[in-house]
Amino acid sequence: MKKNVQTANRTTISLKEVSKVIKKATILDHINVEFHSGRVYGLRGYNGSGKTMLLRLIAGLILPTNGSVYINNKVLGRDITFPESMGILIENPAFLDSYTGYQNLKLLADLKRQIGEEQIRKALESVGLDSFDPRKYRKYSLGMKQRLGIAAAIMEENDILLIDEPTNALDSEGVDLVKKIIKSEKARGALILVACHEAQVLEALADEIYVIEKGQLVDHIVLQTIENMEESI
Amino acid sequence: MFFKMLSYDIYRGIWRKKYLFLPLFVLTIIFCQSFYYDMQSYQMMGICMESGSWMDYIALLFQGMKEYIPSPDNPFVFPVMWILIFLYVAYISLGYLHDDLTASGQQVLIRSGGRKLWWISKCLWNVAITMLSFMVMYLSVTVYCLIRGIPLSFSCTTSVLEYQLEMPILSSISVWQGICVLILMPLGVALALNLFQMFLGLLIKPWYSCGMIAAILLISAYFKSPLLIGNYSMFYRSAVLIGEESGMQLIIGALLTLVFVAVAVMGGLFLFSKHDILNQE
Repeated sequence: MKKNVQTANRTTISLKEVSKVIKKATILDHINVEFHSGRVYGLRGYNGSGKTMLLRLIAGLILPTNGSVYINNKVLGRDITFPESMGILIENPAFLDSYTGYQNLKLLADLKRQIGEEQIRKALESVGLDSFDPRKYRKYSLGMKQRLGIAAAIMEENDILLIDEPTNALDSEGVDLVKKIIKSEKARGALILVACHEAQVLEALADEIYVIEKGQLVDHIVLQTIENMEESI
Repeated sequence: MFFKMLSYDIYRGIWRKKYLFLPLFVLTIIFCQSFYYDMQSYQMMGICMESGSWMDYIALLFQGMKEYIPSPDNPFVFPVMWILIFLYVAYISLGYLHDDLTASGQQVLIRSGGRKLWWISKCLWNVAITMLSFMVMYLSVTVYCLIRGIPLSFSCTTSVLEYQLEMPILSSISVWQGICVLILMPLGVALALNLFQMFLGLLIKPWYSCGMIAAILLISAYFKSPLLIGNYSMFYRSAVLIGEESGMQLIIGALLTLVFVAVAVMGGLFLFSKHDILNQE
C-alpha cells in the first residue's frame, strides 16, 4: 500500500518518571518530559550523559526500569512494542555490506511496504547520494554511510524521527544538508529529536534544547526561533 | 512482513555465511576417509569382507562413545568426532542474533512491528541453518560413497558395524530404526541445542552460551543418563544398539528434545520481550 499523505500525524511523546538502570548504574534518572509534533527538540550533553539511551528508550529498543513512555497515550512496551511510525538513526548506521545503498533501503522499505521505488530514490537523492550508484555499501566512505543512515530514517516520512549525532563524519556541505532535511521534516509536521554534542549544530536546528547530565534533564532552553516568537505573541 | 523478515535472516544468516559449511564438508570427508581405511584393513586381514553402506558411514559419524565407567585404568577419552560435529554445527549458528541486533537488525526490528515475530523469525532461521548443516554432512557422505563406489543404502551392515564399533550387534537394525536413530535423533538434538544456545545468548555472551553447549555435550559423554540430551545422539548408547533396558529410548529422547525446543522458543519470547537492545552488550 503506497502512502499518499506526506504530512505527519499529530504525535505526542510523554515520559513520566522514567528511570533506567543497567548493571546497577543509573543511566536515566527520573525523566519527565513531553514532545510534540512539528517541533525539533535537541538533546545536548557530553558523551555518556544518557542522550543515546534516551533515544533508545523512546524508540522502544530499551525498556524503562521505572516510569512509562507514552506515544499518543499508548504505553510503550505494554500497548505497543515500538512507535508505529518512526525513523531512527541511532549511533553508527549499519547496513548489508554486499548491497548497494538503494538495495539496502529497498530491503527495509519492503518490510513495511509503505513506500515504493520512487520514494526510496527520492530519499537517497535528498541526502546527496546517487540512487543508481552501483557501489556496494562496504565501498562507501564514512560520510556516505552516515548519509545512507539518514536516508533510511527519513524515507518512509514517519511521524517521529530520532536522530543521534546526525553530523558525524559529515563535511560542512553534509552538515548543511542535514539542517535542510531536518527543517523540511519539521515543515512536514514530524516530531524530531536530535541528540548532538555540538551546541552550534543544535542551536541551528532545534526549537527547544534539553541539556542532559548524568541521566538527568538539567536544563531546558527554548530558542528564539520565528515559530517560538510567534507562539509567545 | 514476516516472510520478508525471514528471507532477510536466511540471506544474512545463512547465504552470507555459506563459507562456514565448507569446513563441515571437509571434516565429514576426513572422517569418512578414516572409516574407509579401517574397512580396507579389515578386508585385507580377511576379518570383514563387506565395504559398508551409506548408512554405516552415518552410524560411524554419530557413534559417540560407549558408556564411560570411571576406573583408574580407564581414563575418560571424550568422543572427538561426535563433539566436533555438534560443536561446529552450534558454532555456525553462534553470534548471528547478537551481530544482527547490533547492526542492521535494529532497523529491521523496528519495522517488524513486534519483538515476538522477530524472535520467531530467528528461531526458524536457526532451524533452517541446523538442518542445512546436517544436509551438508549427509551430502558429504553421499559424495564420498559415490566416489568410492559404496552403496547408497539406508540399511546398516551388521558385520561392518560389529567390527567398527567393536561390539556384537544382537539384532539387525531396520531401515526405519536406522532413520530414527541415525538421522532424525542427531538432527533433533542439534536443533534443540542450537535453539537453546540462541536462548542462552539473550542472557549471557554468545561465546559463553557456546561454552554451555560444549559443557552439556561433555557431561552427556561422561554420564549415561536419560536426562542428558547428548546421549540420544550417540549411536553407541541407543536402545536400538544395546537393547531397551540399558539403551536410550527414542521416545524419551524425542520428548526431551521437545522440552529443550519449547524452553528455548517460549523462554526466548519472554526474555526478548524485555531485552534491552544496546550496541554493546
